[in-house]
Amino acid sequence: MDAQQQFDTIEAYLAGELKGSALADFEQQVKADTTLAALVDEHHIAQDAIELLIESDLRKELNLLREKDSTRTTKVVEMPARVAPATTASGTIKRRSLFSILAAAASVILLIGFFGSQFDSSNNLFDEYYDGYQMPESNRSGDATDVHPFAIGFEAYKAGNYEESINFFKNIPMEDKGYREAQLHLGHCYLHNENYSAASTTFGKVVESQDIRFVEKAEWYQLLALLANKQQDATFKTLLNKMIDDKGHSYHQKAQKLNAEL
Amino acid sequence: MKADTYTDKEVIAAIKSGGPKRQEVIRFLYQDASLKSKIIQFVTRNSGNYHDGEDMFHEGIIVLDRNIRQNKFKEETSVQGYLYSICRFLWMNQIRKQGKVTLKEDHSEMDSTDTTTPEQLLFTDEQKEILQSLVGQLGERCQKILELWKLSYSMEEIAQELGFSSAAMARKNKYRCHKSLLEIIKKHPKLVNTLKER
Repeated sequence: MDAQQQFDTIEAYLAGELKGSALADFEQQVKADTTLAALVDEHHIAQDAIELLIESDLRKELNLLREKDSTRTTKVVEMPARVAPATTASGTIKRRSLFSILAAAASVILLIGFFGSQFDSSNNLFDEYYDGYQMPESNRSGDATDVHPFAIGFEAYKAGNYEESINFFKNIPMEDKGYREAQLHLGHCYLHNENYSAASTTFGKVVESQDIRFVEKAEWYQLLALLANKQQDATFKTLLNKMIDDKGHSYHQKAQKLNAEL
Repeated sequence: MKADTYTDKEVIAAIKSGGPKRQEVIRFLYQDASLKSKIIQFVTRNSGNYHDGEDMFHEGIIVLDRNIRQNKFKEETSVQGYLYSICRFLWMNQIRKQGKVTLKEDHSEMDSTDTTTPEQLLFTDEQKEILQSLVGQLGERCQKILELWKLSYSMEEIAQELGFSSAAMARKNKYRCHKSLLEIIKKHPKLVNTLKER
């Protein structure tokens, strides 16, 4: 028996693939030959070592999945790449930092490595349908002296500082004539911050107001917030059906397309 | 949006066949919220916290995966029941080690026929350390080849995954890496003796 044959026989023996007389013969040889017995032990240990690699990899993958779940549950937001990036007036993509994007990308690559194409469909759909949001210009009519009262919030949003823009729009009082508009902006800040639950609640307030200027937008974005939050409940279905049934709704076609993909 | 579901036979077959199918069923098992909550409930009722329960669930999946691949799983037991049983034994072993002895057994409908001890289920810390010191001397690429081979990937799949020009080249490299590992093991008789004494 040459070295390669011996190697294959030992592997077959350890895999339980030797049967009948082949098995009996091999076991007899192992008993009689201490060198062969030592070799079998070494192969056995090699298999255990490889098994440890598999075990470690699986543990890492399960922990990654837990982290992913935990991030979703607590709405902790450190992955701006998950949401369509904010754009400036000139269309330049703003990014919070290269590090956070690389970190996000690394996490995504690791997860894709394990789950391949099984990536979360709700979030894929959200990414597909949420096309970002462009805040109005801070200076109205191109007049440098005519500064929009929400300019601070707009600029914070454009700079990717969503916490600051959230704080700004949250503090616009209900009595302010721009309150509903501010709520719409606030909803988008929450979406970018991946706080989908708060985004849904905020857009919901605009929907309730039935302010004709914003209601259709608010309905659509509330739907997307619910989708991202994996909350396809009665509210989700009501909003979706309303947009599908109303052929004049600004988001009628998108709603139909989304429904077909669900 | 329909979720994939698998029968016990499909779970076993997919894990044994390895490759992407194995990954899919492991994900399926991981997402079994009902089983996960039963395990967490057992752990939290017995001196553990939620995080401990999640850890046990993960460790149980790791052991289940290995035992199915190594034909140690008796198919008359349900996969869920077996997984629950593994997790329970692992946790019982851990709290015994910690001296927290009072166990509130969960008399659920889960199977509890498996009597394998936890020591046989996972590598001990000492074994892990030794095995890691041995396999860690291999290059990462060699580790990956051997891992994929052990997970029943075909040589064609290994070639594709690791960028070898052909299945024959993958086979040649697998043999070379396997020989290297055996040579490393041979060079460390003391460590090998420690492992053999287990």
